[in-house]
Amino acid sequence: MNSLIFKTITKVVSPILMIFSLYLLLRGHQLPGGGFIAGLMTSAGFVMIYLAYGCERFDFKHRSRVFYFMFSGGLALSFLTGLAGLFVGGYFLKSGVAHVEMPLIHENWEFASAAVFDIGVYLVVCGVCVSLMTLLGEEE
Amino acid sequence: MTSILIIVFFPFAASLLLLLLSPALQKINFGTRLGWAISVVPFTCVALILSLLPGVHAGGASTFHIPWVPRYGIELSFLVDGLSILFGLLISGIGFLVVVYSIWYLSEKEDRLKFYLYLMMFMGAMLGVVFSNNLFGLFTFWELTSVSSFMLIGFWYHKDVSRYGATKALVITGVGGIAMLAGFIVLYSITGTFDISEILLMGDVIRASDFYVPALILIFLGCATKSAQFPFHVWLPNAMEAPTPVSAYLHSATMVKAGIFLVARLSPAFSGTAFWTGLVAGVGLTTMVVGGYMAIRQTDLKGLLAYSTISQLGMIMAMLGFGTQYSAEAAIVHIINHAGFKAALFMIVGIIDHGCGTRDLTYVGGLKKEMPHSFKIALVGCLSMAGLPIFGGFISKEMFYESTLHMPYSGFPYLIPFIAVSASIFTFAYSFKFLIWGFFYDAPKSPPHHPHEAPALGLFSPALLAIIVVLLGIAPGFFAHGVLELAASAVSGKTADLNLALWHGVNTPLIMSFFTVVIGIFLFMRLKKVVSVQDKLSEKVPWLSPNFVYNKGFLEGIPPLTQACMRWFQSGNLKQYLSVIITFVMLSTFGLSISQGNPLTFARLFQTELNFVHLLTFILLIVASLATVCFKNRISAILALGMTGFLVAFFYVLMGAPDLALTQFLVESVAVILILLVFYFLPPYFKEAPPQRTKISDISISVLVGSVMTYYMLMVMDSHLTETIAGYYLEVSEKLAGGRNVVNVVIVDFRGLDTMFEIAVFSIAALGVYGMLKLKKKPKHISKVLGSK
Repeated sequence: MNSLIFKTITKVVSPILMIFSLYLLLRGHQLPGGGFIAGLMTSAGFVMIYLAYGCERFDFKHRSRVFYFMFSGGLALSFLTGLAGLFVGGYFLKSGVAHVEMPLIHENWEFASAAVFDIGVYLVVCGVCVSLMTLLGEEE
Repeated sequence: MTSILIIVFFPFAASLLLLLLSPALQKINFGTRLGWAISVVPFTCVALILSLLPGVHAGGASTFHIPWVPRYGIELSFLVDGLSILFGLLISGIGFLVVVYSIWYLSEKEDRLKFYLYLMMFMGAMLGVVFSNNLFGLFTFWELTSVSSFMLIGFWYHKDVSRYGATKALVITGVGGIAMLAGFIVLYSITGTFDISEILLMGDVIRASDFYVPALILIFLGCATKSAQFPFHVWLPNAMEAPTPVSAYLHSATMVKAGIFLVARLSPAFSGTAFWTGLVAGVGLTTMVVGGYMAIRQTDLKGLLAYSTISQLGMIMAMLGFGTQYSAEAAIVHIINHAGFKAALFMIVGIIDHGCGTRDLTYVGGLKKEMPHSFKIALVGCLSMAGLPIFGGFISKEMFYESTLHMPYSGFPYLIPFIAVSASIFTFAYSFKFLIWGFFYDAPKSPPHHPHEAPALGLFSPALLAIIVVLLGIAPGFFAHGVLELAASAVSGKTADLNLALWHGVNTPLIMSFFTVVIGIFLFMRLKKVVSVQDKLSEKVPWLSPNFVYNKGFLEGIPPLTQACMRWFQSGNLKQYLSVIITFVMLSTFGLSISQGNPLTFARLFQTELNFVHLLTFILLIVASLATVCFKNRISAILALGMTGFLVAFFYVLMGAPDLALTQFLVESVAVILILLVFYFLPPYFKEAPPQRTKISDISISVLVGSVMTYYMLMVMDSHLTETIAGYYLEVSEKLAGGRNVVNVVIVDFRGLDTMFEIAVFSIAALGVYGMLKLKKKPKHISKVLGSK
């Protein structure tokens, strides 16, 4: 798609989309968001770049491995979270929450093991969507 | 009790280690060192099992649990008693000897790494079977033994006969295994537990149950296929294509005894009825006669031993079937006897095969001079197998005769001893055929190589086994008080007191033995004539053999049937698949909810308040859906489809579901683009209008889906909201999972397993697309894959 308007908009919007998606991912446990939504949003960002520039700014064709690793790694991460639950908590996918007093900023941060699982979901969703896009697009 | 975990999982760990290290190991020339390193594993297991023995002597059976799926009572649980210790010692002890033997047997050219990998996997699985205290654990290990046996039979996979034998073994034992699983579930419905030690105490409940007969038949199918009982014995002779150490280990001493083991293990719960005796002893005696009948025909020494194994397994099965305390003791004694002499004889056949280049009796004969040490070992093994005095086989055969005389539920008191004697006459004849033809008579043709004796390393294992066989005959008390009594009492459920001795005075069993020997010698003298009569018989009535049923019925009958089914189910037309799936789901769930649901009241439908925005969204939604169907241009149709999605998402916004709305928006955006990319491959316009028939069926499916979904909506509105789980999740979300976004907490925590499978499916879909698009590019490659048969 060779449109200057779309290219310019992509330059501005896609970074915002991606950063916002990370924000959605991290806050997902407390407020609307989460791995699935964030993954889709990140892939929407990649889709925009792909539609606007093809392989010119990011070489989707030769870097497609990145996305294959992304979804396989995400799946492994989710599974390992489950295994960690098995060994620490007693059964598969047992979740846990830890409250940690952060140094320097003196705030009480909360770490949920489910959030790690959610990052796995994020990686799978994003990896699969972009892989599909590059695979289908390669034929053009 | 952690030693039991080491016993079962050490072989698995060794197998896994070999797998992981195989790329590195393949580069270095490990020679025989690998075999020596592996022999540590069974040796450790022997030592650990022996260390468990004093505990069983002192305090009886003990169990050890690790929860697995606690809600359904499935756990990794181990039972240590006399029976499991006896089998454990057999498995690890003979395992050790077989590994040492294989160091000599497998030449440099063979893939030793793969051999030990599968062998250790088998050993772990087999130890798992005998020590399991949970039916599901037992089943899992049981199937693993089938799989590793498949791998080992097909070790020389480039040979057609190996592949045939491996498949046959897997198919027959696999089908039996599934029947056994069904039997376990039936058994669970009687007892309410999968715990074997609990089941064993519920014998009276089980025998009184209506499901006693089906449970017994199904479980026995598993045991009979595994232990090569008639008519499922046909896989065992073909399994002889495996390397000889494997035949000695899996197909004579251990794996084929798994069925025997399970029958013995469950006999306190099942035995003691006429049906049990009729089924188990009936099948066992038939197998014993058929195996003996077939064994005397064989000229291949390994085939002879295979049929002899079938016959001996039948004998043990029959003794377990009699169900008396004495017969249980006899069975236990024969298990250890048989394992000893048969493993030794198999190893001798391996030595003959190595030395002469063949093991066929038409080429091999008169080996006494060239192989003096092998001859001595074979002499001990054959005489014990034939049941002659001073060897272990004599004691257990006497016990077998004694138990046939006192078996319960027999309508014909003389029939069973008569069958026993005639089967033993076969045993005597084939034992002497092995010994005399192999070592005394000269063969009609000469072997490919001039025979030569094996080195000490090859002779070590069979020699040690031969010594044990002799000890079993002259000092049976040592074994009896060490472990056999404990095993026998685990089978019969009563404290056993074994007084084994070679000489019991002149009694009925001794007279029966006398007749066996006399008629046996007579049969051996006339063996050639008998075999020619047998050959004529099998030529005239080929369908009498179960092999005929397997080859003609299964191998030639089933594939056309499955192909026909497959062509019908898998037409390759996506639209047809979807129509069938959707129609089925809709009709079945609709029928179910109609039959169980209450009539619709429409009460809350009319209370719902609609404003202008809602109505407008509805109308647009309907317009967009109609447009999707009506557009002739594909791209317009996709955009209209996306439109419906966005409108639904907008509806979520109106109803206050931000998470859903956000997800829906993003899914639609990405999906529309992906679909557009897919449609790049298709022509821009739809083909000519589909025929009238297709249109009608499409419309009726749409109407069906629409009306069923509407019905569900109305039904949901009728139900009371307080019954839903939403309130509970809202309440506990923060407390249990530390998250305030309940939707997300449900996804990643409460229903985490669902999500995990969803992302797995998602990844599999990506892999599927990858395969479809990447492989499509190389049509040559695909045809190569499909054409390389």
